[in-house]
Amino acid sequence: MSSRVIRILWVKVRTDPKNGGGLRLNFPISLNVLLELLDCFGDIAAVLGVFTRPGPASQRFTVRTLKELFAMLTELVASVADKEPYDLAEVSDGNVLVSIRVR
Amino acid sequence: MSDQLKILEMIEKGRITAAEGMELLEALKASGSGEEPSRAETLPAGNRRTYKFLRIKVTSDNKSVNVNVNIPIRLLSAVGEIAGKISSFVPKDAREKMESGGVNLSEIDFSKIIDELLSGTLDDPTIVDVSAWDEEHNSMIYVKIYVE
Repeated sequence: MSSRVIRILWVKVRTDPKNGGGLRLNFPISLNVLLELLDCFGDIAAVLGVFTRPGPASQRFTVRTLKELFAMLTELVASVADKEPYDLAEVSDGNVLVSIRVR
Repeated sequence: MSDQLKILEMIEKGRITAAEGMELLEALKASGSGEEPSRAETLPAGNRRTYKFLRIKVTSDNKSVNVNVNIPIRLLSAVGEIAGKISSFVPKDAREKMESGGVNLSEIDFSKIIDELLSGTLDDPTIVDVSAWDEEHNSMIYVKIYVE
């Protein structure tokens, strides 16, 4: 039996929050699924690295950079999942309210 | 009395020349004995605090802006580990623009800043507490960054 806690990154977008109307969008994203996806993309980047020719040293963005980027994102997403649920961010400019919660 | 002070006193009293003193100071620096222990090492464990979140709050008088960000300390430590790599992704023109404004990313020791936060040895948990007039929204904007 898996003892892994399922964490969901809940992204909510709400327009016109003052009047209670407007558009409401909810995006529940499973952090475990996101981590698995990032892990898969990292592996794909590693395979691509084998089949692609190394570019010139001056080239800014290489397959290796892509692989490192996925590794960094995986580390960041993994550290977002805390033991307890919390509100990661809530941004409002009066017309639009965006909130990101970890549940 | 620290070793540096002893050497300076010896120069003052004429026991050694300034050049000899300089050599001694350099030797002391090289041996590392002249370095003061970090605050985290000197502070008793009981005085250290365990912070859970780095909170960023931006508010305004007329509620035109409201930003509330809670960054878990664990995420902060992950950012500290990759901060050096992130700065390499900053485009060259943006880096030059920042340097012309007096901000040199390579000189900022992100891991040291984050270590101070993680060690829980800050005297004041408030890192930034500023207010400024926002002409666009005609209101005061308050920015507060603190650990909790």
